[in-house]
Amino acid sequence: MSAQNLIEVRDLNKAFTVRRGAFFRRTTASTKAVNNVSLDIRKGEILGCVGGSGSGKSTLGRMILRLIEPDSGEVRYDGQNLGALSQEEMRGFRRRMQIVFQDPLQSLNPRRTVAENVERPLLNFGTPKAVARRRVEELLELVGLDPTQSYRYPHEYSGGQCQRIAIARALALEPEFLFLDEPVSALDVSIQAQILNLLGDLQKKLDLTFLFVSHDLKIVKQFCDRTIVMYRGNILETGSSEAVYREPKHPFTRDFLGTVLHVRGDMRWEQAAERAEDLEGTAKLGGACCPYVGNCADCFDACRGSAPPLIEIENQRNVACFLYDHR
Amino acid sequence: MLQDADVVLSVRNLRTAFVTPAGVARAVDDVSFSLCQNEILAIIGESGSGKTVTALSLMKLVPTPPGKYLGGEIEIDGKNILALSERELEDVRGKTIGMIFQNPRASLDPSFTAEFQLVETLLRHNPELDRKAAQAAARAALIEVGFADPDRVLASYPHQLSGGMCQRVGLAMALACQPKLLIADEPTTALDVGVQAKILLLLKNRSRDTGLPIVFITHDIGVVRAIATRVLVMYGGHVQEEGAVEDLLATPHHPYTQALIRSIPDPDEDHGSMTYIRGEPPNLLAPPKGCRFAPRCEHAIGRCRDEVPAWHNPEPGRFVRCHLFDLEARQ
Repeated sequence: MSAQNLIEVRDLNKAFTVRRGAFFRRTTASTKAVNNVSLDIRKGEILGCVGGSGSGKSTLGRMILRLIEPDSGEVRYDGQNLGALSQEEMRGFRRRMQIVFQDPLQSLNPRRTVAENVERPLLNFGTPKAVARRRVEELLELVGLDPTQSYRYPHEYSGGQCQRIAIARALALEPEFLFLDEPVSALDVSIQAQILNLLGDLQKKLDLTFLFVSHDLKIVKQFCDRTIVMYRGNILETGSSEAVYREPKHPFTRDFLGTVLHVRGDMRWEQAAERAEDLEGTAKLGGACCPYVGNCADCFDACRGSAPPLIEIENQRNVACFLYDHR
Repeated sequence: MLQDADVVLSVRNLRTAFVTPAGVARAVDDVSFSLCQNEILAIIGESGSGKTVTALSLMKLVPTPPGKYLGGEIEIDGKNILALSERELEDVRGKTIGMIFQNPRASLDPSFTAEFQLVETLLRHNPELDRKAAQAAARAALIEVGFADPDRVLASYPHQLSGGMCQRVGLAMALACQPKLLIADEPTTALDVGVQAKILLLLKNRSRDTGLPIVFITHDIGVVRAIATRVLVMYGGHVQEEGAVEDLLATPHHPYTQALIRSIPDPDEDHGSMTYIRGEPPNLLAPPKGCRFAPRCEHAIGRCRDEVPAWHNPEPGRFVRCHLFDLEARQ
């Protein structure tokens, strides 16, 4: 265990199964949501995780928080294997790691006032009511909201303000780690930047560590120190956000970047669109092969025989692709 | 503005409001624009800017009540839409005007197969077709939107299709009746970037090949850059700026457009804090008296708070609703 890692994930797996039948429930299909994923999250960093829908990025984050139990593998938080903890012991760790969801209106309780929403975690962990109320005021101020309005209900606030409330609630127990699950995807562009700036300021001020999941590479590049690229449950590439964006190594990352539409962009996206994968068209992969083999422009025989491991090709740069595997 | 023969859609002084217990919300206030063959007009704005209500008004689809058309005219293919009865509108919607929406599943009926829904739509608007011909047309429509195996899709129920596939079925349905105009309300917002790019390319090619004019509603300027030919920028129910896509994005005139473009992360610039627009969008029940953007505008002058700006035409093809461009007053 390296002292600088807050979280170490080793060989994490999760498959979701589809069952049919009322009495004799049988498994008819199974999807590997997360496939043998290992990664480190360093203390004080913002780690971005990008991928399309169904790439397993949310499942990965939720397994780190043990909101979903993995099928196999280990999550070590500050040296402690979370999977080995009892529910009671886990509760102690829950204070230290929190989550912010995509849609703030769905994650806040609509029948509770803003103050009641934000103080809930404090009361759950035994903070006296009067103390909790004072803390709520501090928290709301911290996220840029007016504490004197905390008797209002979430629906009286705009999406951006609701996300601020959700962030205040996540910070109530003074966690050191936040899992941000597409926190700005549901917001208007002018508000996205407000919330990202707020999160960035809080991260510095409170010395937080973030796992930031998004499908928007532009935002990840801007906001995150390091980026991991996921596809069908596999990590295909990792590196500094700058490097992943400027010099994508994996053919998937290149194709994915090509379809990102830029404000000052040209019409190169049209070729990328022709190449872009028809997720629905690609047959389900069977057996061991590279997960991107179905749509890869550079694929060769080795790619169909086995899945390439994630290897370090230069300092801090890992890619799971046989093009770079010269062993 | 222009009155050419190939104008397909013209909107004049459209005003659509919602009557609520708390007051009248003027969601679309004095909006005018027109659209010609071969054009893709993007209407861009944030939530509450009035872009979706504008799109719904074009088909007279705003629920009344609580909605109310307070005034204006919408002319599509020679018909005055707001004057048509529900009965007459049924023939226009789906036939003259095709539409696709943000949530692809919501525009399909979950209890019928894609084939049933496509054939039903085709028969409804083309009484001369028999069922056989409609089935063949449905299959052809699916191939046209890029399905490699149309027969499997035809036999599928919406829940058996992914979001991107549902959107393409919806698009096939919208295009199958050869509409004169397509209205697309954030059709790719809920989709992955790759699927989004594919659908945008389809729309762009279709417009280029057949001249189909498209009204494309979005909040994503990247999407606007990729497919639009002309842009309307809406804020607080007003159109604030209009122009050809390249000019407008390269040199935005209205302070709102400028701020909006600045607030999008530009990955080619260096890592740093992002600029953003302070404050919140206006409350349409009590909108600012002057320019709707004045309370958040860095350049606002006294006049901006009291007086709604008139349209100014700083250069050919560009229109902006901002007092800063009132050159007479400046002199």
